[in-house]
Amino acid sequence: MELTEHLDGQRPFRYFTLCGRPMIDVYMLVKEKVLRVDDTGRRILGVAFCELDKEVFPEMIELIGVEESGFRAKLEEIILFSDIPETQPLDTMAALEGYLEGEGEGLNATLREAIENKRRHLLFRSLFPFDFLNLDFCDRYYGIPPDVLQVNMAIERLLEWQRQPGKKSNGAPFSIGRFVLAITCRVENKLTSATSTRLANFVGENVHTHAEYKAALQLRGINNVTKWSVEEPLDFFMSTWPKEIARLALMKQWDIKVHDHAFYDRVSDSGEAYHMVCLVVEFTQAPICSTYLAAATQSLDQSGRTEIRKIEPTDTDGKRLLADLRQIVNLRNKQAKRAGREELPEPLSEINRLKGEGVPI
Amino acid sequence: MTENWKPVQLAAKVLGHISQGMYRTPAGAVKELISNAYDAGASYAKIHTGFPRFDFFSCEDDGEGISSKRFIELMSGGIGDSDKQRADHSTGKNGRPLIGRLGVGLLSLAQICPRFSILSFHEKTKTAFEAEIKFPPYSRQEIDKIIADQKRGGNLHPIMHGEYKTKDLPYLPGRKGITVTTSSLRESFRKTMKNLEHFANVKHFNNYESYPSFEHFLEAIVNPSLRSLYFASPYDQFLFGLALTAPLPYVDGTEADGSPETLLLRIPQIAKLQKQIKSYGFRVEVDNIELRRPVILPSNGDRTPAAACILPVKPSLDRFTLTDGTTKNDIEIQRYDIKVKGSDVTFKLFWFDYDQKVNGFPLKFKGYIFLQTGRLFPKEYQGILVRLRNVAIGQYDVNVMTYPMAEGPRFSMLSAEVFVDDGLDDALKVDRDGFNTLDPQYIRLQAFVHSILHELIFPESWFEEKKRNLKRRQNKETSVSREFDSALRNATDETIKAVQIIPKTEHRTADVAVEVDKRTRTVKIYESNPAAKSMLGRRRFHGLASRVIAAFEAANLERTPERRREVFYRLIGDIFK
Repeated sequence: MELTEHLDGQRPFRYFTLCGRPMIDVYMLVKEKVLRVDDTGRRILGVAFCELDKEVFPEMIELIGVEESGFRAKLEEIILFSDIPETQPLDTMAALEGYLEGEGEGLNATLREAIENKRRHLLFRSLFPFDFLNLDFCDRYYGIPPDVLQVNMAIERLLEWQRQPGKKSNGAPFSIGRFVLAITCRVENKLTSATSTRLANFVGENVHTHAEYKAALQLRGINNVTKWSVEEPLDFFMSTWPKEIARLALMKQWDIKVHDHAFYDRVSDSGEAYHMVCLVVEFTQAPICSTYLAAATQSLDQSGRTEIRKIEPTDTDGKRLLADLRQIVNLRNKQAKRAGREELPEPLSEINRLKGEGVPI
Repeated sequence: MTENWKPVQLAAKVLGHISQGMYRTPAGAVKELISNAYDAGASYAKIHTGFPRFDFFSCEDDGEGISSKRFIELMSGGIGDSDKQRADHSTGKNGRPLIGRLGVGLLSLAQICPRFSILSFHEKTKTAFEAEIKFPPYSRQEIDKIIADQKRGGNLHPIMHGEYKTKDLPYLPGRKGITVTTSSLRESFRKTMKNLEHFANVKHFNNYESYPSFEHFLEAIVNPSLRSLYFASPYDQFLFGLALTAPLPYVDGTEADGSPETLLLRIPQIAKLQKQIKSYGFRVEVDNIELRRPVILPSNGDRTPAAACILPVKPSLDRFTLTDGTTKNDIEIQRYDIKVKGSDVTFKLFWFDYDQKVNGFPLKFKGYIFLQTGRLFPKEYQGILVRLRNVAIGQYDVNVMTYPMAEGPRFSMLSAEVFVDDGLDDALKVDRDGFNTLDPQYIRLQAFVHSILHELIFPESWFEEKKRNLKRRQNKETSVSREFDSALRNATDETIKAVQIIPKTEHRTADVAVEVDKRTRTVKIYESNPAAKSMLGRRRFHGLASRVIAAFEAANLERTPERRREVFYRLIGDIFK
């Protein structure tokens, strides 16, 4: 893999994920030998994850085999910690712990919680940087008011943290000049007004400031942005949202290259149809970002997107995917068995079971 | 006069102070959760500490779980009133002897967190529930603050309580056991655990990550350069403490697989015990590594491997008199004199059994005392460890149950375990970390250990040590003499080749103290001559004195003062280098 080549065996590939209990992505990278397993055959090196569920959390740690790999938290909340007046002067772990030690167990609950949150925030920050951040939010990128920009702000901070030096297992420092960010989010057939307005404003701004962008938009025959957002919400979102990421890259001095911009359709348990969109972007450190416009314009091009069509297990592609998935599940189940954890079912029989139960897949 | 009995009431502080001082170490507190899992018939207890941040703690088992009804009973005055152990010594899954006594396992968590949640799947009633528990005030500050508030409000309660809430959950078939989790860890616990400045994985392997395996952990801690776990991190001490106390089998690596091997498993009685413990089918994992009883013997400075030890085909028998007040028992024990391939190092292991009634109740124990010729590494193996139904009570006691006599460094060469099968329950302190030393059964055990050491092991050990030291001195003297003779030959161009003390037995009345025998080119010092005797001084200085005399005589043979000075100074340099 291209991303691991530059490591030259100096340290393991560093992968951050919001994978959830199945951990398919982790074991896929193990199968592809991007992630290394140590000599004990039990520890997957270089992986870190965030998980809030206190029951699932220990199981996930065991499936990776490295105690320090997990962080029990909701990603956006831990990243976006904001100080209260009492925590402002306490900006290091030593200061926070010194304060707690000084005050002892008698500290009031609100202040204790704020200090605790700040400490967790600093600890989480110290995990960075990573070679690959796989952020599958399973939810909207722009949330419900008042938390419309929570995910976006979290990504902005992550781009800052990606510039800080990390520590190898022997304590030696390292830095990362290039990494990949994959963001997966949900897009409904009716966008929220906050989403439409924000993205439409981006388009308006680009049209005014970049002739190249305006020309690309005209080439697509788009004259009414509002109408576009209502009539073709998926196309609108996929055309405009990458500009948000490009803008963050510009602000945080990263050059970007969009590697993949994919989508697929889904149906919720309540029968509501929606789409999942995935953007895979490579970031490279740059004093001045020179790729902003290219990335923003490129996203208008519908032919640059990949639609992941429904594949049947009996198709040629389906058979190949199923064979890969089986290998991944086997790897995962081997580890689950060793840890005494529940194994995942055989993929085809699970697909058939879900189909039999009428679950949309 | 009428009797007017009134109840004695305890101050509210007492409960907090008792629970605060109950467990001496984090491992001491967490071991209670392991004991609970074991008693509940679990096949595993898995603990996660959230290393290296220690911001999360969980303990999960697959035991029978607890029903929400029983849980509510416990929370309503049932703590410390467990029905787990009665006088009939009932056993659990796979014939496990039950460990718990007072049902205080959950209380132990107060040492590490002010609140936690519990999730239970109760197999028997096919019910499940989750609960949140807040402990009563625990630290002095917490208690004092609440009492002050109560005093201000004019409402001082005699007993303080914690809080809990429960919620019934749907039972999942096939799921069983208890999971305890918390993210509210006490600062004192976290601070202690987070101190990784002396983490043995860094010291030994230059690696800041968690241990990849238990063998890796053992290799990091069982090395002479560490000397004691005191010089490792509290996290290392925590792992060692849990591995030592839990009812687990010994490490059973072999030379072939390159993992640590202990000599103990080659002793038939201990091998049998190992088989029995394994048959209980219980394992403990902490931070993804499976713990084992971490006793690697021998554990000397030379790191003699167990595989190099040669055991006798059959143990020999020995006897001593157990003296406990007016009670005197003649006790027979088995001894294993252990040799080492290609070395003059020896080890000894004494195996004993005892089964008597003491204070009207049976006292039944067995065990071993292992003795090596140098100190044990790490220091935490030194002394004696008492196990009650396979669970260690406290840690190794280097004072060997307050042994009353001075025995110098011998305690640091001794490692012993006593396995109590019956008795001593009433002597056990509430924290299960020590014994009431006035209990008659404890006193009998103490007398047994002291008697065997005083009558049999230490006298022999003294004698052997003297012999060993003498031999060591002789070997050293031979080697130094050989080196000096070589220096003599070089300094005198082979005019003098050696120095020799002629003992009284060979030459009874010598007229001269020293002579240079030109035929054999040897400086001879006659011990029987009074002047020579005076020059040689005490026996331990004979070697040194003889070399100084030889240097003088060799120099004296030279023709010029300059040459005499040169030879003498050169040889003096060789003597004292």
